[in-house]
Amino acid sequence: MGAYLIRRVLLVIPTILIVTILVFLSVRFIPGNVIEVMVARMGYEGGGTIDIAAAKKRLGLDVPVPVQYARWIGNIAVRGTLGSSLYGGSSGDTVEAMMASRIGVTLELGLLAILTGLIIAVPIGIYSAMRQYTVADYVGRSAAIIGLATPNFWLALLVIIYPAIWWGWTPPIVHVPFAADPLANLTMFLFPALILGTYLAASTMRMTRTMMLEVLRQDYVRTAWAKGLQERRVVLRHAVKNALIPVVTLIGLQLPIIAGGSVIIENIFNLPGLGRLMLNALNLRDYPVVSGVNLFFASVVVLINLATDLAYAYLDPRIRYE
Amino acid sequence: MNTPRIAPTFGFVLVFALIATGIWASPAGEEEPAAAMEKEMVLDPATGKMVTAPEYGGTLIVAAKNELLDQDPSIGGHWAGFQIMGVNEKLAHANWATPRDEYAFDAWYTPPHLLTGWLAESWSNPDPRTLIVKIRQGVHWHDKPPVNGRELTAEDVAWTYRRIGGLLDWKPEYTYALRNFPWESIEATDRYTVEFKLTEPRLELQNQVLTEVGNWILPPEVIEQHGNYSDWRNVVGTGPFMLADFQPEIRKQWVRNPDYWGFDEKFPDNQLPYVDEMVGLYMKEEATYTAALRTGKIDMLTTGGGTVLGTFEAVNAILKTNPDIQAFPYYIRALQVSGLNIRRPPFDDIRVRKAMNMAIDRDAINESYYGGYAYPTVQGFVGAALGEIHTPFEQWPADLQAEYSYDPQEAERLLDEAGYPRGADGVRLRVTYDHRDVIDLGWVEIVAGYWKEIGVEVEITVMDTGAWVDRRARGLYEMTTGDSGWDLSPAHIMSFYGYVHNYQGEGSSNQAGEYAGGVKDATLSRLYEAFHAATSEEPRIPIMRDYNEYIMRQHFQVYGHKAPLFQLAQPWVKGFNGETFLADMSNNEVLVRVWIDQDLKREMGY
Repeated sequence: MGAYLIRRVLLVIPTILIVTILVFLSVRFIPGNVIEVMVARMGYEGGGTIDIAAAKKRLGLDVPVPVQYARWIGNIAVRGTLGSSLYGGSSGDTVEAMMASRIGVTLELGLLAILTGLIIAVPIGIYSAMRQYTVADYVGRSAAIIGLATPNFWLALLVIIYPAIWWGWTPPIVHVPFAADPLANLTMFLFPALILGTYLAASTMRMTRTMMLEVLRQDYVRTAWAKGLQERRVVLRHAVKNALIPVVTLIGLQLPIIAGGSVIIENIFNLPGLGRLMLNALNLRDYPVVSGVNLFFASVVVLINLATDLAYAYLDPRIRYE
Repeated sequence: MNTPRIAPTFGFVLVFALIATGIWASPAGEEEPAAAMEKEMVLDPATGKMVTAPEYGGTLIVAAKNELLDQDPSIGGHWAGFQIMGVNEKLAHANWATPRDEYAFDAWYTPPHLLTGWLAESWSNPDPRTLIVKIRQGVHWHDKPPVNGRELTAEDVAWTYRRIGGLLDWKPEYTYALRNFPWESIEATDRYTVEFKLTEPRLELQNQVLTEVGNWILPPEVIEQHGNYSDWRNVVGTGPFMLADFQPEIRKQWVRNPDYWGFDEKFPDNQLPYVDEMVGLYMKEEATYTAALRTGKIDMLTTGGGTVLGTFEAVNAILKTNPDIQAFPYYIRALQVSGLNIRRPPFDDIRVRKAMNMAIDRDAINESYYGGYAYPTVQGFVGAALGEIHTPFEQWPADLQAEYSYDPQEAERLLDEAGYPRGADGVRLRVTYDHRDVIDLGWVEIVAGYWKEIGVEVEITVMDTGAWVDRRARGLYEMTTGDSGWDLSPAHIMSFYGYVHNYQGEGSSNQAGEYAGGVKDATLSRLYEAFHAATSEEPRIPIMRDYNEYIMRQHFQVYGHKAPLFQLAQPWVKGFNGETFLADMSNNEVLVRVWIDQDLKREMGY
């Protein structure tokens, strides 16, 4: 186990290194650089001009991209900082400070979405498996497919637009921190979490159903039935626990979906989280912010994968002895 | 057999939740607002209409879409103003009491004869190189460190202008500046007098010093202490509001300055501002801020907040559900314009460019798409706010009018003549169109249909500002989003094509080089030089008119409609007539002068 652990942890280092290269370069390959955006936004209608050479020097963009990367990675490794926003001023905090002030929102949204997804998916998945090929099963599976096929942003727009038209009501749109007013905070997250949770629920429900079907056919379940146990006891005591192990793994792997979904959902529901930070930064070509947020999400995914692998190794000895 | 109880499908839950919360939260919005019969009515001298008398109090909430770049005008350019407007002030602005049929406060450009003193009490030009400004006495900074409510002096003003004029510790991060002026000195000659001196005459000295976009008077102590004006906590001004809170991407809050020196020019007994506080709620998506307006969570969609609506259709949809909401069209410039890359085929041929302009039925589009709100004819490059410098379409030579009138047969003849006959599939040529995502796509799609009629297939690609600027700067486009009908100062308008003759390519941030597809034209250069050689405004007028006519004759762009953008306000917002700016890019100062009919608001259930 020790050797496996070391091998697996060491593998994370090159993975993260490759991730840093990808997140650093990807934003720089988007057409339009930060100087052009600054020119468009500041100089054009304001009648002023930007000294491009000076601006590039100030922003550290006057050197080749590999040197910029070396500086960036060096700052992370040596000083532990992801750099600062290229736009200075009040938004010119370090990237990690900007992220720190927003991560709570995204974390809360993600957790509530996962929770919502589970509340929806697990009962339906179990029920579908137990009533395989019945109307209830078909309805549950169809709902899952619709959930998978429905874009988050579309559902979010419906929830924002139509209640306003029909009832003169719209979900809360001014963020209130949880500590300041828990009820107002949770009310604001209700619909975003429901919408993001719906999408997560779709795949979770399918996985739950599949695993339940597999477990229900196991000998020990048949034995439980043979003992004359009630259905509720067979399902909840014997089948569900084992069926949910892969579901828990799936939840961990849903993080990229949450990260991607948060970009859209946070914008529509006015949540000041990492998703909105990244979208704004992308529009402004604020490289350090985009790279920093991307690196954060990518690192979390890598670490969750690592944790999953280690958990599997712990649970299944065949893996660590291979 | 017992079965576990399973929750109903999520669809039912969602629908139920929506209905339940909707019923629960629905305001008494169906009730008819009671007429404010008992309210005192007064005559608005600017519009000649009776309005409910101004009243104090309440909170004005506006949606704000624009990201903050930097509060320091020297760094953030005109975008800096979105935080400091209403807090810091300039030297002059257009007189708010001006009749709206004379000046509608919807242009960046303020005609000099409409200017009135703001922090300046008066000004004079003793000679063409000198401007003397008398500063208003008795104006105090907000009671906040490090200025602690001391009186504004001429030295504060001189210091501010030395900084933005490049005479004081110029830093590379400064983007906005009046430093292109040939300054000799900017000095306070006594406690209330500032003297601006140039080494050579510039006609635009007065206008640009008094109102230019980034000329906010800043507290020297703050910048000397902190090195810049970037941190909102350090913002301190002389204006009607004090910046009380700023949470990035959430909200900004300004509170009333109880000791403000200024009064409403329309109602001179009334101290400004009317509202106790103003809140800007950050909202990025149009769906979000229109829903917030519909439900009374915000009071206004404004040009200052960047949340104006760009289409008649969007406004109509709101008015259908909320007929009491006030919609105000304004015509700041023509965005329904397509830039053409004239350096390469097919648009290097003026006949093709003409054909593209003649293929569009502007009357039909105006009636069907803009509900008749757009100007039916082409406005030209120079906007109508420039008065006699602007030449209305009706005064154009007949042959030039014909070139901007719907004539598909002539357009087809020109394309034939230019060597683009119809192919077997009926297509003469295919071109690409870079569409900037913040501009209305509808017009482009409609005119693409007209172009298809004459055999020109246009493939539209929507891109964000960064990508759009990149392709334009590198000359990679064939057609691109353009604009026209500029209501900027004459010097600014002249610079768009005028800079072209000395455009330096990479290294210069001025985009004029690519503005018109890389125009390098001897006539435009000559007009640009003649404009700047003029020693008075009079000779500039025919130069600008020639400039406009020449640009239109060259068909550098395809000119569509000058269609409105719309600001919207709740019915309880009073004293607002759709004005956008008090001076160049000074939006919040308009909001300083509006008030809330709080009884009406309550009666409407908000």
